[in-house]
Amino acid sequence: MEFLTNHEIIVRARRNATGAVWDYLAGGSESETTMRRNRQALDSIALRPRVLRDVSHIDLSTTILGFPLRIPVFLAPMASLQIVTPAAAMAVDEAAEEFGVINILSGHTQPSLEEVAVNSPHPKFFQIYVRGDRHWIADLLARVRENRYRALAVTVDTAVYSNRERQLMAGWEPPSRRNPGGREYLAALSWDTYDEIAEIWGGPMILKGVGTPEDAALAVEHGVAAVYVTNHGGRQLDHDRGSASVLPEIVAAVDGRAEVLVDGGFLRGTDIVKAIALGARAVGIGKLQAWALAAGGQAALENCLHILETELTIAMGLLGVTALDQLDPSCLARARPVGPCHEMSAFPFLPGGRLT
Amino acid sequence: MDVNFETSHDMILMARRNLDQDNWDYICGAAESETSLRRNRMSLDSLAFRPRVCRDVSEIDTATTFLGHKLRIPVMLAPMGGIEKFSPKGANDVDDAAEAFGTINFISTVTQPGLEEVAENSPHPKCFQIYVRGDNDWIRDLCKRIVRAKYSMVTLTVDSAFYGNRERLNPSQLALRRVSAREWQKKITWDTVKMIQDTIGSTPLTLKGIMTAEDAALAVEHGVNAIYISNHGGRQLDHVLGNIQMLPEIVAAADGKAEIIVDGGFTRGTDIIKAIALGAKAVGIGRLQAWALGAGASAGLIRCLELLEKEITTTMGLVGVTALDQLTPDYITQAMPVRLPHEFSSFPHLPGGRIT
Repeated sequence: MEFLTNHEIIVRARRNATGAVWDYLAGGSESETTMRRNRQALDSIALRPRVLRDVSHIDLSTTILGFPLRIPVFLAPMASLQIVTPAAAMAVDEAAEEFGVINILSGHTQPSLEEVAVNSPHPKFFQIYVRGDRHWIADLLARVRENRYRALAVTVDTAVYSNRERQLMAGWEPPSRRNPGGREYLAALSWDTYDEIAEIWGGPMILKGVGTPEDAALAVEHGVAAVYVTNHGGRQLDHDRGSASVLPEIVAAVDGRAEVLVDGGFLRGTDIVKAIALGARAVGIGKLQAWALAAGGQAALENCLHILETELTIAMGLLGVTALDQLDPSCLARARPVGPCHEMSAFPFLPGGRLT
Repeated sequence: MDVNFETSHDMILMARRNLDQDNWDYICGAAESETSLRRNRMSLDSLAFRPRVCRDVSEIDTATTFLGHKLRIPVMLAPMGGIEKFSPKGANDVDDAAEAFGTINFISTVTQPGLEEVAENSPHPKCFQIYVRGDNDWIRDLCKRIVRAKYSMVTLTVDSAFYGNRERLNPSQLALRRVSAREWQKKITWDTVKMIQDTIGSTPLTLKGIMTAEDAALAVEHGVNAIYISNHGGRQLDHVLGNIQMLPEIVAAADGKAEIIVDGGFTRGTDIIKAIALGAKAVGIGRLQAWALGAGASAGLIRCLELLEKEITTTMGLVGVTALDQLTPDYITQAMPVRLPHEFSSFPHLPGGRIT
């Protein structure tokens, strides 16, 4: 494995990615407050290590919707991967297959959902941005179902595309943004549309972009299999709360009636452990996935997952737990962050502290 | 060697000049994002004094005891591995300083010279610190050697089931740490504690690395003589709370049935007095000890302890006490830190603020 730490992966990613691509990977919306709150929320949670427990055998495995994961991490859907690494979503799929996790394929990336589907046999999910009417939805979902995607994630936090100021100032847009067609359907998305989609899909549904317990409760009423807590990596609504702050109230509102997934600033084994202790089933990695792909495609992404696996093992062992179901809120305490929180602050040895 | 520095600032600069990068990184570094390390300083900086005036402080006594043995100041020399890499006589440099100044040193399982040699080096009371590197027979044999060598006390480290993820270390340094015998450290439990107590008989036992009231209560139930609150200088589990934050609840849980000592970020007389006021018997110094050795071996360490003695005396006088047992939590109050915390933040006149 080329990299021993994710620090090195980020440094390599910065070297490989051009300014516009780097800003696309690393940036958030407007003042990037939501993006920083994701880290701040995680840095406001401390761990309470218990000692003198035999931790010689640690099991990191779990499932999402019944499908196996080697570690409680999945690969969040990301658009426009083709500008990050030539093999795009295929590199992600290969890494997921080799390592043993689940990837969620974005509806706005290359290659096609058919090509990714036949690439490997492991279970994978599909993420949809609703860009058309019922017929458009039915056509797309027919392809998704035919290609054996096991669950459908509907993105609901993108009713309006946000102000990504790094892109605006550079006068650049990612490929997924260059075709404006059908945006009105994203804005018009309602619970009725959701019910239509669920009926057409007929399989497990994940609601991606829930930010409040009110909507989590509604999601459960509408029969979701999983509630996906996310603020889109701080790339959509600015001045939202950090995902780790929102997670406990969502878990409480869902009350075990659906699985809870979460993403937003998760970069370290300790971050993932905190999410599981708060009741998440598994954690999505977005920026970290993108940095790994930019650093070295599939190989670097697998490397990154191995690093997370090592960090998770150390964190669990030093906490005194040997399986994920032993993690609960009693493993955590409130704390103050020790410094300014930003998208790279979990990596204090980056030259200059933060790479721009 | 004649080593004279007027402040710890000078001492740290001397150490940086003398030590190579590998040793510097080993001494200064901590685990992953180094949040635990920074929390140690932040929690100390979050406490302020309530000084009482118009009290005759012309005669101040800084002495105390630990497990019945006299300490000239409430400071002991924490166990450190690999001292031979940055001080000519290794653990004997520390031992010479402890003998000359009048304090207790903790000798690590993984430092040189070894158990018997350091025991014979001087007559003052000292403590041997155990890392478990073998099965129960191995542990019992080690305990018998410790007792035969006439150590006054024994410490078992309990926070090291895994080697902390220390990202400053380079691959060759990390390779040295991949010791297969470390697997035994994962298996230790409270039964191991009982077995050690049975083997060492009347020699007092300290558990080093307790960070929760629950484990402190268990320690007391097991008749452990001293509880050593420590997050291993932030070098083990990242994202724990600062050590002095844990002190009040652990003192309460121990309820006078075990002595409480603490380490982690203590670099100033003011830090030490805060810990005593909150119920610690004494404080361990780790990094400060290493910087002192780097500056001037045993002479440097003696000078460092003299500087601490001066700071402790000054602090006691200005706070309004003439003996350590007059300190209570009433002399302490909460405060906002005034600067970002890091391993050097108590030394604001270092060029650049922080030396890497």
